[in-house]
Amino acid sequence: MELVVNGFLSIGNPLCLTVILVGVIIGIVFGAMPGLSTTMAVALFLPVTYGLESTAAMALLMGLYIGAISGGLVSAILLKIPGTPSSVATCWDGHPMAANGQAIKALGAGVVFSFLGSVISIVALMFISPPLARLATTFGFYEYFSIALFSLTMIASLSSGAVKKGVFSGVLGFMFATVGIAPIDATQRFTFGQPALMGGFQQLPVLIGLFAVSEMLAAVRVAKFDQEAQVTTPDLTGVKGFGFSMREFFTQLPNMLRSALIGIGIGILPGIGGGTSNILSYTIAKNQSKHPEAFGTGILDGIVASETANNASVGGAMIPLLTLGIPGDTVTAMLLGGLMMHGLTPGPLLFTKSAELVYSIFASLMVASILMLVVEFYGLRIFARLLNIPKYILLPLVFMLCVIGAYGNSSRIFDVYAILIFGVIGYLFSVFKIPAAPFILGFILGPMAETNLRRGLQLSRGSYLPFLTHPISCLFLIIAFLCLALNIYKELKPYLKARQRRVS
Amino acid sequence: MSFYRKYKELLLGVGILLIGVFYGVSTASVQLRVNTTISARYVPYGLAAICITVGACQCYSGVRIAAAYQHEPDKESDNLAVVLLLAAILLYALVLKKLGFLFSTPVLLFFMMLLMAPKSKRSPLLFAAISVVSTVIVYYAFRSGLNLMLPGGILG
Repeated sequence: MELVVNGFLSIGNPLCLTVILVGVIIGIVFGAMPGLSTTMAVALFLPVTYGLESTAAMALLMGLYIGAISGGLVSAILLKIPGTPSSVATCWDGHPMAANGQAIKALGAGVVFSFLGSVISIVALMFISPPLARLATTFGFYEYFSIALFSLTMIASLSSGAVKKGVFSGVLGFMFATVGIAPIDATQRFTFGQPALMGGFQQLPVLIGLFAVSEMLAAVRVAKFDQEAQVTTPDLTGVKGFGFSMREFFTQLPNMLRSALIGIGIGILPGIGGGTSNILSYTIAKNQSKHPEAFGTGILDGIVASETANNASVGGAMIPLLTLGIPGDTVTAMLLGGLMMHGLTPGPLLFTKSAELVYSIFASLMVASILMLVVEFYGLRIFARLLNIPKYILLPLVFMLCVIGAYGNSSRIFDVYAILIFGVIGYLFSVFKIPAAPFILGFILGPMAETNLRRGLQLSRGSYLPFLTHPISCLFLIIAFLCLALNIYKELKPYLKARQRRVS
Repeated sequence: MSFYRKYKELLLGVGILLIGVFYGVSTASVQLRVNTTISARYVPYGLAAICITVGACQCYSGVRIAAAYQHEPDKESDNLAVVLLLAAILLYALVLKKLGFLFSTPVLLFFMMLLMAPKSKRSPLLFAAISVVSTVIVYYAFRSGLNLMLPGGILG
């Protein structure tokens, strides 16, 4: 407890508080702009920390991290384009709410539950990170594969009513993820002699193409016939506070707690981050709901599940970073670099040798979360007014930022072509009513599933038995099987009932 | 158009089948570094099999849907504008490195705005001004402010 108090005291000076605030604001801006990601925000500002002392440097980076993860909800809700991979699921209910004139309510709920997700995960980080980290080390190849498979079976839930199309979408995403150098043996796959394809496809162009470009193509398809200014004016009259009632807040608490646990659980596993936790949390919330058909039409539950989980992943991802020196995702990999730049080696000894700095990091995360809540509260109405800008002006400007993000990521023109390729795919998906969410899941989780399957099978000399004999792996496989069976039954139920009626 | 709407799901099924077959054939031509059972072809073969199975099921559904199809009025859509937008983005990607971000982006933005705006809302002067000003601001903010390298093109 004394360390926690000292941590807060160490950042309680004007410099640290200012850099946290600046970091949060810049992070929100980067997170809100499609194409500019959390990773880019941290990468661009890492050099800025050279001139700062360790505590202030970490405070800036934490502010950026929290701000950017949360900022993604702005464009997800207002434009149906996720600002970061962590906000993909927020689009599905956030944008319909904004389209119905409830932009403030959607944004407000996203902001509040992002804050609560962050706080819960930071508390977990502060008080139970060592045992959580030990749990994470028990996860091996079999467990990782089973988790990936379990997450992939969520495809069936995400595409209820169109399971064949959902499975195709997921498989196609997985197929694109196999382009490039294969894991383990570094075999070149599906490069067709093109050097640019050896690096495979990056996550950012996939998201930009699937969401931003396809949105533009959909808008241009009807522009000629739509004489309106393509504006959805948000209803700001009588809106108080964060735009939702206390009753709605308390109704969402169970959803929030479950999503926070999912976010922390996913976050502590290296290699899986907010990009997966928000989709997984959304799907589980939908499956658990008494009215799953309402998901996707514009309800608070979807936003709460997604935003709580993605921010809870922040604290979760910091756990293996600080306790074991293993980064949980690309952002924490950057943070690892930041720590080492300031002469700190993450790992078990960090808590004993540099306890004050560690707890100042926790304190920075907490203060950044509070500042994020305040900044976004005052920004709610400003964000909502972005909807007054006609789409034919806003979307091209967003596209420009997307190009910057895609090119700036690895300075490859190929990534700009990739935006176009995935834009066409996204457009065809909308024409043939194929869900895009499974594509994202397949693309993100496919490599993890393949790598761990192959490593596991190599270790067991080709035997699948260890996947069942390892308890955690077996548990996830059973849950995956049950989820899949339940979804198949839900799909077949109408046909079985019709058949029964015909027979009777 | 009516033919397309009637056989849309069947066409999708055929497309999925073709993708599965293409992927499977491409997998067979992957040059392995080490010849083992659990090789770099292992998972792709599985994906190809799933894709072909899904494609076959979709074809079956497509045939049933076509048989039960009832004519619906076509929804208005401007497919030419979609093709033009895609062509513009492709051209932009081709010239981006040669001309540079500062010169190619305003042209693309201007064209996009003209294409996406309804006829009654088209304002070339306004669009040109927004395109140029926003590009310059963003370019210098990222290149000079944040040291993010964007294609300089003819500026070097």
